Amino acid sequence: MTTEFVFPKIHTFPPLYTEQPNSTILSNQLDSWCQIILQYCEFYKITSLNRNGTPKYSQIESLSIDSLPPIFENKSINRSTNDNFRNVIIHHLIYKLKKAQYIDPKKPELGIYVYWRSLVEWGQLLYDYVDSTGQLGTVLTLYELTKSDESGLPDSLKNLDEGLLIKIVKDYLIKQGKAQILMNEDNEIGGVKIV
Amino acid sequence: MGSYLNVWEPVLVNKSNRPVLADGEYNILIRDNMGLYQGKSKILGRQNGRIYLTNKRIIYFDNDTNANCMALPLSIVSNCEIIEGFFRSSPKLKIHIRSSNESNDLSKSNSETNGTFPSTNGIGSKVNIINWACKICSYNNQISSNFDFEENDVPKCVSCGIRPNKQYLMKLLEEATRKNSINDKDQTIPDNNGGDNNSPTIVDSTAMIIEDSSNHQLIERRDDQCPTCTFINHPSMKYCELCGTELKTSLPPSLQSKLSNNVSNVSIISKDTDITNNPLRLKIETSEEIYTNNKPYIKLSFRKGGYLEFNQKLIEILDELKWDSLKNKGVINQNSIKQQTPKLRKESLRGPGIHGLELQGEHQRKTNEIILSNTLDDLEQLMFKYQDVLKLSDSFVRFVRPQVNSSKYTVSTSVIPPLLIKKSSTLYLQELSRHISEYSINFELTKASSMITTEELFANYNRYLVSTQGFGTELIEPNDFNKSIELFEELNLPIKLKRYEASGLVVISQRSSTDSYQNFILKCINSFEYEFRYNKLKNIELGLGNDQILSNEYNFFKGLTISQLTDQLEWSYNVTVQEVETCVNNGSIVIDQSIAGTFYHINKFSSNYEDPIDETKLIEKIKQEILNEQNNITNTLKSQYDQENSGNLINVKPDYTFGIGRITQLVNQDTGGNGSELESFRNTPDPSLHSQYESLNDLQGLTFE
Repeated sequence: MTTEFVFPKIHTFPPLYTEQPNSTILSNQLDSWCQIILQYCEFYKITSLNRNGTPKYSQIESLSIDSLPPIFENKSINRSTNDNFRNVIIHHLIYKLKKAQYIDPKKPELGIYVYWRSLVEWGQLLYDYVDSTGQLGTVLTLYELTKSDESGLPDSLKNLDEGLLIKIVKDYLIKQGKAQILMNEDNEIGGVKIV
Repeated sequence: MGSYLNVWEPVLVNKSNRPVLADGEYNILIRDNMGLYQGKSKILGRQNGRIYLTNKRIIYFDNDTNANCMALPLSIVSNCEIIEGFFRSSPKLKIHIRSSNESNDLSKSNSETNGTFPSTNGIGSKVNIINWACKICSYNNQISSNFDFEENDVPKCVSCGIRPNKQYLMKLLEEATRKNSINDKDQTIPDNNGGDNNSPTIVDSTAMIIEDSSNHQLIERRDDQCPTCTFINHPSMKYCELCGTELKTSLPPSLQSKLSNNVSNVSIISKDTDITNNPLRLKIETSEEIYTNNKPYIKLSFRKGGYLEFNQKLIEILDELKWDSLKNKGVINQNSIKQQTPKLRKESLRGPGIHGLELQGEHQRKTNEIILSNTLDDLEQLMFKYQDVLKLSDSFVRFVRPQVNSSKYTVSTSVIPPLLIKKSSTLYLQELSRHISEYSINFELTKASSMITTEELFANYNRYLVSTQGFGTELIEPNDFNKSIELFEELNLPIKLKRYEASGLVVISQRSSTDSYQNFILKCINSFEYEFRYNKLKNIELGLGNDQILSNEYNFFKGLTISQLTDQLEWSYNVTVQEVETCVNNGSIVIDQSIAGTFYHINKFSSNYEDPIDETKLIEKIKQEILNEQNNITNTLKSQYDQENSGNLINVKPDYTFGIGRITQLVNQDTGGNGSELESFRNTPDPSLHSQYESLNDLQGLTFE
């Protein structure tokens, strides 16, 4: 991945990094922030972030996560948000826009999933893939669904975070009655059957 | 009976609802709740107003509509009397107006006081003004016919200051007196004809004389001939069309007054259209003006009392005016001798018995009396000294005043007439309020965006009073100040109080602008941002984008701090803080807090924010400007070069090219061909150098063998 994400113009607007006192402006400002985060994550195919805003997992294997430009900091104008404001932004992203979720609600320090593509869309993608390859009703391992090179896995699903994959299956497909999860003997998820 | 509505003059009104006074005019008294009557009938639309009594006019200032203000010059007032109130009718002051003939005469006499000496010596001897032309500068000077050559020096020419020949003047005087005696006989006739009601009833003796003398001079000449240049004017002209000399109509005064009466009679019929008779288009209750005794007068109705003092003051002024006019004529204090106070002689009082004691007691009382009266005299003297000192201190004001402010105030002193009203007056606060408003509009609130806190205004206003009126002025008390600024709203003045709830700050600002402070802030920030981006793009265009310092400087727009805004908008710091806070609260500007400080920006978060600056257009503009600039530089350099070299014989050739030119020159020099080099000079088109070629041309024909 050679091209770098181009931040929107507002990213160089100094007041963006200060929590605004006016509530209307603040909500506009938070919207702007969330917009930036979503665009950023989509660009780098980042599915989860740490709590401090650094990327946690990206679908793109070649990407070195640590060398990505930080979201909450702009070195050119010498501004960065403080931790408190970051929490506010993430909170807004999760509860107002519902474009993110804690990986584990009991342990928020683990980070968040960022839904630049919603769970429904993910589920649809997965279902379409299984459907189009005629594997409905067969048990597939998680590996097959994410890392397999042979089965013609579409780019969008390739190298998907396993945790996220399980979440998609559990929170969407199972509720729709389209999937089942099979546990192995170690009480781990052994495979997924999509019908 | 003519219309006398034309006695009213229009009045200039300033923004703070006070009349604009003329030079040397000052307010003496102000009364509110007044109504005006013309004769017996009310003047419509002039029934609720303030009356300003100044030393020159009676100004009616309408409380409802400023356009209804008008004034009556005191010069045409003859006297006044009081009509007491009766049941529901309020007390009135009847002010008699000189009929038009009289007032004309008076003004004429005032203007010609120069050489007139009214007949104080004897009733029979008449005095005329005679013109004499200066032989040096041909200026028309005036001299009175009873000029005494033995007592006085020959007068100088007013224009050039050179004394004329004495004989010349005497001859002129003789001629004039001769003419006088001839005309004296004719004079009586038109006067008698002048008849019953039209001839002026109370006329100054001076005025009569001048009119008489005018008639004498004219009977000699043709009726309509100018006495100075002999041009024959139209009979109705008042001044000669060629030289501007005043013409004396030959018509007898009775006929003249009839003529003018006719004119005014006509005008009553077509009242609306006649401008001269009723310039202010006044309308009165009744269809025609009715006067008792057929004498014109107006009445001031005092709805809220206070007429006694007004009457007194008015009489004082009228007396003063009359006294002044007498003084101007120079009849006061002629041949007066200062009375010597008789010296008190000391009596020795010593007698026997009760009688002696009584005498002693009486003597004691007398000395006491003298001492007391002396002390009172001394006190009075002290007061006079005090006034002198005040005058002196006034003369030092310009030194005392700080240098920086001097320019600010010197212009001003004439602009705002000082407030002359007693503190005890009920109108004091209102007038003070108007005055403060006037001051603040002229000096403090000069910009639409400017505002000032009450504390500052209070201090500045008092300072202004001291600097313009000297140390004798009474300063305004905080109490009065506070009360009067509360009246801005009530008096409908162009300035307004504004309170900030959070800090309790009270500011005064122009009424028109009070709602748009936010706009001023926004505009200010926007203009800064525009400038910033303009400079940034310009630097990039100029290829300075890689410059370390510049790129640091123009990296991003840093926003404005409170102090920058304060500077730009000329508000006080407190005010700016308040205003910015309101802006932040209503969401029009946003904050950027960093280690460097707090900066303010335009709100760009909202989804409907559109960048007001079109960068592509801006770049176009900058490119054009850079081009122009560079053109300018080239041009100036070129013209500079031309200028420098035009004086230099060696470098005359502006399009001189090194290289080939140099070679040919060298070749020519080798062959001694000076002529061909000059030939090439001749081809240069610059005309400014032409003269030099000319001088070289002499050599052109030379050939060198």
